[in-house]
Amino acid sequence: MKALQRDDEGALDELIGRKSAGLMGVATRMLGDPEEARDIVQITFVRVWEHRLEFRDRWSPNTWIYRIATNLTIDHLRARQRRDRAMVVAGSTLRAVDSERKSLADLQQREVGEVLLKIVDCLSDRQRAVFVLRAVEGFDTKEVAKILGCRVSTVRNHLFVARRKLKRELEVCFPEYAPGSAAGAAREGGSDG
Amino acid sequence: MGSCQYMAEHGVQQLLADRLSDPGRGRRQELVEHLRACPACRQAAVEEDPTLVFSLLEPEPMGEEQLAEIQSSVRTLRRSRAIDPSDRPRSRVGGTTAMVAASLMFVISLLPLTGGRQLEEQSEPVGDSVTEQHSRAEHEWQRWIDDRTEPPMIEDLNRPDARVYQLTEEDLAVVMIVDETLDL
Repeated sequence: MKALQRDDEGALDELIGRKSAGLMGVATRMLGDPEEARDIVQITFVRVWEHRLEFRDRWSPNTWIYRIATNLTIDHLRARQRRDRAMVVAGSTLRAVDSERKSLADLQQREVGEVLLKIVDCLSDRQRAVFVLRAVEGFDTKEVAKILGCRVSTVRNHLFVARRKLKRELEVCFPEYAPGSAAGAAREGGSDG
Repeated sequence: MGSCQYMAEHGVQQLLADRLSDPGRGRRQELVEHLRACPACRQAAVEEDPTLVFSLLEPEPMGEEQLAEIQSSVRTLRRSRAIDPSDRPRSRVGGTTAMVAASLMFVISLLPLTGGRQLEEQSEPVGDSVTEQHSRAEHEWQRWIDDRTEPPMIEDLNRPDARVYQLTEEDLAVVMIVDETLDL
């Protein structure tokens, strides 16, 4: 950050090299769209540069950068939600449910990522940010609270609700992965008979 | 499942408790790496809490080419914004401040037109007190704006639908600007 504050453009390139993957992960999992996520990451670095002189030594650079990126992503989500509300939903996507019971634990990384992107819409933007930062990216609760500018207890509440919603959404959208669900049990009974 | 030493030592409940209790980056990473590598533990943990599987997602690596693309785009964006300030997204704080300042200036400019006679008759310079109120109000607004990281954005003040109501008492002038389309 010191180098950035001395207008060192090379330091910005280095920062982009170190932080882009992590920021892309957060933005992609929150937005579900890698192209939009890349735009967010780019704007994040532009903002970091433009506001570099406002950065204070007592702040954590990582928290500051993730805070900018998360706020931009939440703004983008809200704008997208407003836009989507104004549009008539033409229809819903139907997905063929596999009759064979599967375990989420056996899925490949790519498949798990796709499942998350399909069900993450059930979360509010804040719940989504908390879940992605805390559960997926592995920030601790205090860091997430600082990034989102809220209390630690708020983060815990959002995380609790997010997990509950995601479990329910998994049962509804992917019953083949929810062995405890009625759909899964009925299918299992059917296959036994 | 029983063949896993890690599981024998910790058990699924302990694994999940660890995950929920902020074990710190190091311990969390150890747990996550074990679950990624050990199908038995992963299976048991995901049975207990399916959302745990999302914690095992690895960050997607970013290629040199993608990085170079981001660096180049950031450079281009930065320069275009430096050259053409109008290209920059308008600062919300700046926008709101401008709106508030413009409203106050509008109020002040109306006073001589409608309350001018009264002002002349009064011995005390009401204009000064209005100026004080103006600066105090502006100061309050500025503090209000500063206290917020994301103040509401007002697109434009130049609104033909805005209505102005003025109540003039003996020693008090109240001006209200009403615009139902103003989204605060």
